[in-house]
Amino acid sequence: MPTISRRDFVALTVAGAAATPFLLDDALARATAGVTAQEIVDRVKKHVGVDWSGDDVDTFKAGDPSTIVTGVVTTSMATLDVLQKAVQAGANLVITAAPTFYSKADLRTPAGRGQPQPDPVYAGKNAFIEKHQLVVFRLTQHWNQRKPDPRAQGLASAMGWTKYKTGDDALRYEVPATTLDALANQLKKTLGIRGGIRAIGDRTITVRKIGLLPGYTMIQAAIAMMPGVDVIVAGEVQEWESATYAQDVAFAGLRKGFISIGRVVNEAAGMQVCADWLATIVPEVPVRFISAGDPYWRPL
Amino acid sequence: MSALTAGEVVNRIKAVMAVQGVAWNDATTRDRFKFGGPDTVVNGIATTFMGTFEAITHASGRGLNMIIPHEDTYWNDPDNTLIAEADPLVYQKKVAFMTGHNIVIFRIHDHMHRQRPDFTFSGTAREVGLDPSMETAPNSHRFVIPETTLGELAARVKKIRGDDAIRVVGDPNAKVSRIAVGAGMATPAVSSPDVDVVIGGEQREIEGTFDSPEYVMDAATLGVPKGWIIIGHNMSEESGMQEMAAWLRPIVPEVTVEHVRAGVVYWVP
Repeated sequence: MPTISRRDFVALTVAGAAATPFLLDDALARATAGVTAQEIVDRVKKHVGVDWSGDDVDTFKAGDPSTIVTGVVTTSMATLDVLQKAVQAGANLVITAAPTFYSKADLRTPAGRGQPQPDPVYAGKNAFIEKHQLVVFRLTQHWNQRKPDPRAQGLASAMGWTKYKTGDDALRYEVPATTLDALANQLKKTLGIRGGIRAIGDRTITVRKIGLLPGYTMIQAAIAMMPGVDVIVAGEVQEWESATYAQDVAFAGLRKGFISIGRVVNEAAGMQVCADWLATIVPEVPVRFISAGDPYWRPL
Repeated sequence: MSALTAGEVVNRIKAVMAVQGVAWNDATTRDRFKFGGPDTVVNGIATTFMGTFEAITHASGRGLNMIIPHEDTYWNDPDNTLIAEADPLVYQKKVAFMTGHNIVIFRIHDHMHRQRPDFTFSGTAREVGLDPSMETAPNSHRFVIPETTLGELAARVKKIRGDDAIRVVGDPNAKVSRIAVGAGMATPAVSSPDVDVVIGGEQREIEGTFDSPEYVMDAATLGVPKGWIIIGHNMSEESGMQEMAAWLRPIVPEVTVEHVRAGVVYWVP
């Protein structure tokens, strides 16, 4: 499986990952080698380069770990749409950054608010998983501890910023001068974002120094980064923390900006990197990335 | 006539709340003085969503030196100033402005959410065009409207609110009529069988306790009519601060009470 180029990544993201089926003969031939989902996860744990602490986040969320794997899909979020595309592509192991079942608890049945069962959305997703004997594994806490941060690395690669990296710091880039408005539009277009991108600051300011805050970050991270950059590009922040801080910085007349691209969009960049890496440790079966896209749209 | 102090204003707020059934909880880290103190003389009062530099500056410009924000002043919920002091860009400027303009800030959050109605909910419902006659029961925060599509409803909400950074999840063609309104952080459960659409403030994108956009995306794939209209934390609670200003006016007749917007948070490319 060749690694997916930046252009492919962009095309996949923009198109919502139109799936190209793996060659069936290849898939069958490889399946006879008989690598199981558990064996693949064991290889991930061994090679990820991060201490695999016992946790309840990076675990199997659905399916039988002893299932023989026909193909692997990595994704930002294992939505039903992504699972359908994975099946079309001949894969049966899905490795996701975000939960599969709608909450941090990631349980296959509704819990917490006591709504009557069955829930048609849980039921529909479980039925699809069972019909196609899919296996879903969440990989996020350990994957995102890798250096450089895969979400920053993937984002920089997609944006063509890798050559502008500041020293060894995958979170900082010095790009040719642009405006905050142009940068926000470039991010939107290149990453295939619909309604999830939002920005703070004077649209007309010139920006060169970009700082990345991948994933979900708290106020301390924004305060530490803002003085050294012209603009922060973050995944997700809380409005009463970093967004308000950026508002205050902009109101004070400092020529700085802040852009939030959305958590799911940001995780997609990291899981693209994950697919490329997995292909090197799982040679028996095809590995590919399928984006969940941007969850949000905006009314006209 | 002796001058009205911030401490007197707060004492009156506590007294009227108590009469209305909301006993004051002194243990809160939120509803306290955040700048200045009880002895500061009050020339006028501004209610606002958040103690932004913009809100404080605009209030001061209108001669209002007591700020009553619903949310924090120092970019973190407990208003821990040690966190803000680490910032070399704007924190000192903000403090210098507040000192120079005799500002006093008293936050009102927890107790406001215990009032009935909770103005953050009733303000948002008003602001997005949901008539109280459509509410299923007083303070249920559930509304039933004539059937429409998610796309049409979202467009209507955006047009009424006038802010750009509204985010929607779900099939625009989904038929919807039963709305649950949320305010601030954490949205009502969109998975409830008697809810088609949630109109809410802010919710963690993937690691919320109960809800995420993923549920609505999967519902769309399965043809289950569900929608999420996320108007932003600011937009979901700022409206209620107008109601709070109206509530305060008869309590402090000596001074002007106005609502000052904390500012538009996000623009969109």
